[in-house]
Amino acid sequence: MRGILLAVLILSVCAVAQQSPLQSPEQIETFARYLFNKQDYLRASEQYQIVLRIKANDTIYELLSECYIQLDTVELADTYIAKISKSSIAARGTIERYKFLFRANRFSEIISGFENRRGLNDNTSRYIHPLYHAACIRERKTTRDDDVISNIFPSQDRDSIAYYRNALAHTEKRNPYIAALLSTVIPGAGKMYTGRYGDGAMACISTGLFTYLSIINFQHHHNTRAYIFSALGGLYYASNIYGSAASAQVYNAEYTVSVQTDFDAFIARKNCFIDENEIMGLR
Amino acid sequence: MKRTGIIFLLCAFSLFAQDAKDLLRRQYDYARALQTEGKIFDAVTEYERLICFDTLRLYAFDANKNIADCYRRAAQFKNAIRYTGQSIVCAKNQKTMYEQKTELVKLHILNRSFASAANVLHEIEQDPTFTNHSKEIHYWRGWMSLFQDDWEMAAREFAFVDSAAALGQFCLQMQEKRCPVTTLKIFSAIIPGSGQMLTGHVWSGLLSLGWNVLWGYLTFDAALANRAGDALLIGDLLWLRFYTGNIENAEKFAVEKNTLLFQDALRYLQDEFKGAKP
Repeated sequence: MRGILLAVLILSVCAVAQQSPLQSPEQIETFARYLFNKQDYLRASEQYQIVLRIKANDTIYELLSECYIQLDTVELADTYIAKISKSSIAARGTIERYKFLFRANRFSEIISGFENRRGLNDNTSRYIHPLYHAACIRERKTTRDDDVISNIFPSQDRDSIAYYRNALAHTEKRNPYIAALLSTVIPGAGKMYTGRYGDGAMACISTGLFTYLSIINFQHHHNTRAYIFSALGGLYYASNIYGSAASAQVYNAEYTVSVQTDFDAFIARKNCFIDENEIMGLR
Repeated sequence: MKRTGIIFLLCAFSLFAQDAKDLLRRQYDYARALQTEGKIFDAVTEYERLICFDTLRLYAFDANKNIADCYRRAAQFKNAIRYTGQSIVCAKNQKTMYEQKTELVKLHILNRSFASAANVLHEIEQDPTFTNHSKEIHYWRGWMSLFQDDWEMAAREFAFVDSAAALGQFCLQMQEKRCPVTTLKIFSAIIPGSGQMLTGHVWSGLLSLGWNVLWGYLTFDAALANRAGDALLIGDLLWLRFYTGNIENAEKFAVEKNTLLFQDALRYLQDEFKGAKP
């Protein structure tokens, strides 16, 4: 009996001795939280994984999912959000996930996730709804009618939303075909149509000069020189037509990028139309 | 029986009751061992753990300093700078503070954040407690200029430090080896192709000279024959293009050669130079 007691005591003491107090589950959790607050999400996730092997609860899942969202591994975050049993905490995790997707310009994932109700219940959908419409606007996807949008966004932001929706739906401000046609009729006019007045004027002068020189040389029977100038003039003329069409495309692309950047900044300023206080209340 | 059990328990508890300081020391040793083994990521994690639980801030300086060292070894200079800054805050005395500030200068030099390095050096210079370090300040200013490819300034700074005479000499040699970009551009402007030839690109220089002679001749020929349009076009579209291209090429080749020289010099200093270096 005494022998058994001794053996049990020795074994238990050895077990205690082998575990450093800094490596106890509570300490690891404290350390993980410390790393999380320092925004060292990689190390924090590693520590939370260790905690998870010992004890699993919704808070750990939520923090772990947040770490993975910050580390741009949404798929991993999804697996932990799915494990959260308390609906309010899961809702918060899901909202954070969707906010991240918007920040990361992953609009199609927001749209498909919302439409397929992935990880969403009625309560969460309410928060994600404006973000879904913002993603649709960004993707230039036809959303439901204006009345529906009016009900989703706050009254003071509806004009801005309508403006961005209209601007992003009509980004073709300069038609490449019109630009090409204008340059066909008057060399350089297409470039001027896209706002590049200097280029347009240069193209007009160069083509005009080459044409003039080729005519003069033909009149004076300097045929070789005349053909060279004709070829150069023709090349300038053709490349200017192509350049005008390309310039219109560049103009449209620049306009699109500028509207998209403004829209993203607007959504970020509005915190994705999600009231943080209300979300905190979900905890 | 009962008494034996109690005595055993007491012995065991007294044996394994870990003093907080001892615990932190063991954690520090563990992190240090990982660092020595080259397990940088794990070492940083363990140092962070030490900082997290070191409420007495006994190891704050060493842990931050070693984390900075880990990041430096991993060439993550921005992180290394951050932790060196924290180690300065926790410095134990003026000596360690000076050492860490010097370390910060080195890291800023490696990170190519020269303005910050200059600021730290200025800070050290202005601090009345570090008055006897003026030579070191010149030494690190020399290294800063060296990393900025300003060999002349580096030599000037190293001249203040007796022990850096060889380094100063090396800088002067480098300055002599460097291609004078503006001079070469002027040469090429006077005799097309000469700038390229002087940087060692003889074939390119000769080609440039040939093109310029050809288009120059045709331009003048047209002008002398009263073919103003031809002269204008050949001069503008061909000769001027090749002429400006020849000057641009001279600059490009000179800059390329200087960059190669700079890289070779840094490699040489990294491998061969035995003194203090970033």
